[in-house]
Amino acid sequence: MAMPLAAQSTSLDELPAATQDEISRVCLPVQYREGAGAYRNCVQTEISLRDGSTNNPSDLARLSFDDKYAVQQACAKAGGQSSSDYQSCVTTQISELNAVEAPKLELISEDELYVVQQSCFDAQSKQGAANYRRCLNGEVNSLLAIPAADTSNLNMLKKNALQLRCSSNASNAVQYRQCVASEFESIAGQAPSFLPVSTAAVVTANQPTLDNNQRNNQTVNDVVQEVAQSQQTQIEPATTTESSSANNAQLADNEAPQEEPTMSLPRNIVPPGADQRQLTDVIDNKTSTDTVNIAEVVNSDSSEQEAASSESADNLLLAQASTVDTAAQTPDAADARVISRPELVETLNKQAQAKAQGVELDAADAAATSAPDAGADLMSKASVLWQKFLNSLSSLDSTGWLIIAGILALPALLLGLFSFTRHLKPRTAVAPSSHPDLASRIEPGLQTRRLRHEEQAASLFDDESPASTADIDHDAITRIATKSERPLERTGLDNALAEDDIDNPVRSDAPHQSGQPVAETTHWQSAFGGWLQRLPDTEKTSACIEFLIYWVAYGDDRYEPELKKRLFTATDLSSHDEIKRWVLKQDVFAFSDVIAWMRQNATQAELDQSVSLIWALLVTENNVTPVQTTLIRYLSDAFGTGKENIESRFEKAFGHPLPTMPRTDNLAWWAKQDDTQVQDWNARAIATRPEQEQMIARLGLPAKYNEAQVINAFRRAARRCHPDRFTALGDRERAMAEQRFIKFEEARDKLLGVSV
Amino acid sequence: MRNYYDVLDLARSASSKALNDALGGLTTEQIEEEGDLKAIMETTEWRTHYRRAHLQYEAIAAAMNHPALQGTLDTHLWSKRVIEFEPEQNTIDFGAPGTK
Repeated sequence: MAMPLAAQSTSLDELPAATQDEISRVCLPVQYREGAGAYRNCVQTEISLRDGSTNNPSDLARLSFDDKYAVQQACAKAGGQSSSDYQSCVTTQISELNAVEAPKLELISEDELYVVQQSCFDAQSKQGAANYRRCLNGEVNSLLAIPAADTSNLNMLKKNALQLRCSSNASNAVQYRQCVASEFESIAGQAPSFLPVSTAAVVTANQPTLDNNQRNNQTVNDVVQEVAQSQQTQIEPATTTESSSANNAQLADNEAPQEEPTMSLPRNIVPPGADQRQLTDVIDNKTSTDTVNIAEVVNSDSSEQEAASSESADNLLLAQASTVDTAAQTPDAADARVISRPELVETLNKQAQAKAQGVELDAADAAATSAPDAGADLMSKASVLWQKFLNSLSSLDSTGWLIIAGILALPALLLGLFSFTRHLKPRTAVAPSSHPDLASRIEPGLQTRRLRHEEQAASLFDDESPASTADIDHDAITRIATKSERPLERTGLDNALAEDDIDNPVRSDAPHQSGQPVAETTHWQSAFGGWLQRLPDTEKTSACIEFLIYWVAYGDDRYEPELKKRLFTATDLSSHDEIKRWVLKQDVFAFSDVIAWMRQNATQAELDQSVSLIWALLVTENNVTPVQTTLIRYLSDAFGTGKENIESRFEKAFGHPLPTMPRTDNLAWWAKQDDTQVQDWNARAIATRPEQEQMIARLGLPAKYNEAQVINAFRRAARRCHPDRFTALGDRERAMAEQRFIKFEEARDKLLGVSV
Repeated sequence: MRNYYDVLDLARSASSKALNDALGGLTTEQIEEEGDLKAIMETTEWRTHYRRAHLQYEAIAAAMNHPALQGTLDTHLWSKRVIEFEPEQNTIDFGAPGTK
């Protein structure tokens, strides 16, 4: 049974702060994962363990959090925590851990501790607790061998700045401490004072395995102290330095090994405040092969260009400090980065080059500030900037130049490509919409943009034929027209269109201009052919399209029986009623005459757009009737489009594939049809449903729809009805599409609850 | 597509009574041979859509027989689909425009 929370709290509060923190670190994740009860049990268990109620000598609870983590990581693969293998592993790990002296973490600062732990994280998570502790020892001892800059006098702000700068630059604790020493002056504005390093000897005195480390650390210590002392000395004249450099270079040449040794990453110790900048590279002792500790000093005073040349390696002073016996190296030594001598030389060469450039720029800056007047000052600054620019260019390698050349050449390439494509294809005639009102309602500003860009887009995207133009997905035509974008009054054209846009299309005053000459003679198969032939040539295409629209509509019985009765009894019929009557008579030869006439006389654009108009007016998304499927597929062949093309166009227009060929004579096909879908094929039945259901059916939405579905369905419908898709047809056809669009608008508004 | 009206020896516009009579007069062999015919034609909804499709197949067959439409694309294999739908030729030459 869990101890009462109050009692636990008392127990927890009575523990030392460090223990409380330890327990919190262990149990807080439990609280987050499993809740308050589990947290309470966890705390109780941890307290009991620390009270000695469990006398297991290998108890994990007695370890520090970090050691415990290392043990758990090492034993994670041994099995579950309750398994004997796991317990055995824990016992072994703790036993090995106890054989290694605990690191003197208290001798280093908190931020250094963080860096030390970071350096040993790999050992902690992969190499077991003992190796982790050895790693900590190695890092701490290496650290203690270097004098630490005394940051106690810095205010919190500067201390934080220093810590931030060095924690981002250093990959281990030694580098961090060196960084603090070197960056101290730039932040504090004064040279640092160093704390004594005697603690290192104390720490390492009883560690035989670290003798070599100690030796190397002592060497490092000497170097650092030497550098630190150099801050107090007078800067030597350049000539002296150069002479010294030459001597040292000679020494380095003589003492350098014949084979290229591998050396660990140089540790830059730049004594703060030294005008003669010395780049001191200290090689630590953590290499897996024979390594040398080298304190390298770059003669930074050489302002000659040679410093930036490839021969600047001569300016390096390589002083071999000691040879490291790797026999007693610690496991964590494997983590030290090893670089080759050429790599080191290259690194230093680059630093010397940068330094040399800095000298030049400093001189230029000085000249600029001493200019007597503002003009000269400006010129000097320009000169400095120019010099910086040239220096940047000079430091570019071949890749950099290649990238710059590519960036500069890209606009020219694009321009050339654009010009080429424009000349490659004839320009497409732009057919502005005859219904800017509708277009602007669908997409304000669309007309202007289309007029401006249509020629370019057509030439760029192989959009040559008007039919293809009609099939472009006009992504721009996707925004829903809002109430404010609606015209205040319906146009005369709107009013001329009856409620039923299918049964009462209007004839435009402007006759449709077909692009092809009308065939003089045709073998008509029906009386309708004779009637069609008597029409003015300019009206024949429109009459044929009208016939097809009625044919598709009435094929699904989308007419009232009263209409059929009236048409068959009336004697004085309009041309529209004449067409309707032939359709209602189901005169299949009239149908074949229409197809034949259009195939012979209409342009391909008119043929393609006729099909687009038919489905814009009659086909509903997700509700394509068998008749519509059959006729659309047949017209694609009769009009020379083909199966693949029509399927592609249809899917673009409706967002779903064109249904496969219906087999209404086949029971298996019927078995696949959804009953609800079959009912929706009956347009007249839909017209008797409640208004909401009619709107849903009009947009082809499911019974349960959301706002996004309404918007997307409307956008597709708006694209299908856009007048720019029917540029090859007449005003009447475009007006029918507009009327249909208004119907879709109405459905969208009612489904979205928009007040019109 | 099968032309069930042709099997029943009826016109597409035949009344329901005539259709039911024809269906009742089918022999067992005919029913077995035309497996789906009876089910399709006896179910009102299916028959309605079959009749509508039947009209389109007649129309397509007429178009495919039109002299001006010979050699058009046939990516949907219409020539095979409409093989049972052969409307009678009804060519009428109205002559020059304006004549009736």
